[in-house]
Amino acid sequence: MSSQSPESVRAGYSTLQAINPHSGVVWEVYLSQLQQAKTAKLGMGKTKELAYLVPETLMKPQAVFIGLRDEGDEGLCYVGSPSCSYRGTDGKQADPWVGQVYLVFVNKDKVVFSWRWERGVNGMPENYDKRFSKQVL
Amino acid sequence: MTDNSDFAASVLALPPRSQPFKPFAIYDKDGDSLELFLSDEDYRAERVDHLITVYISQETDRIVGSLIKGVSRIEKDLQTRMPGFSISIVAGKVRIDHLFLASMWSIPDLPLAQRVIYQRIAQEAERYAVQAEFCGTK
Repeated sequence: MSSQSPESVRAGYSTLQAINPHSGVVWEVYLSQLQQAKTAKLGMGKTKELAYLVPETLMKPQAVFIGLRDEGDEGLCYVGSPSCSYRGTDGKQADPWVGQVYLVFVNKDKVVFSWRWERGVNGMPENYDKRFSKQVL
Repeated sequence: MTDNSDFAASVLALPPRSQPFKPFAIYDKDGDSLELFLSDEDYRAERVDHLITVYISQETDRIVGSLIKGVSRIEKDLQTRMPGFSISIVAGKVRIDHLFLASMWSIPDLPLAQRVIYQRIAQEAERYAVQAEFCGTK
């Protein structure tokens, strides 16, 4: 991961705590306010997902992968199985989506840039062995 | 910061949207990616290839959005291989349907099934005339 100073990316970003998959201790990652505003436009379901499921996945991942194999990058993918989902534009709490896992992508500068439900098998994303370079946690 | 509760509180305090949903696209420089949202339905993501991930409605299985990765790379590739495409960029904005078609053309020997997905997204983006800011790429 980059050693870029957090100070250089903090303006316009919020800070979240996440598990550093390399050391197991907590570190800080960032998420742009632009992405937060985008999420609000999608309704309360997506807003609650960002508020609750993204932090939960970053702090309690069941796996973390490094690098997308076909891109050779150094980003991380945190994989979680949240205890619930938030649905619809009103954000009603419900059971997690059956057969799916929650993924949060973090780039090499420790910026969260994508998060979503995907199909999973045994708590792992489909084709994880072909998709990612290495499992680090 | 003590934990992520501060983050959650700030996200939940974001102003709710005041108008009905309209399709939109947004470029994110941190992911060098462009997301297209055609609907505000709940969705799951399905990776099509190294460029495109589609968002599939959890209820209906129809495509309700997508994510294009490596946008700046696509932009550079277009400038060298397809200079005529530059006419599609007007005042820093690009029509998303053009970008999807250009992405499709950038992959040699794209399997038919994937080509269909690219075309379907492009058609939907065209239907809503979705544009995105295309300036400020890395």
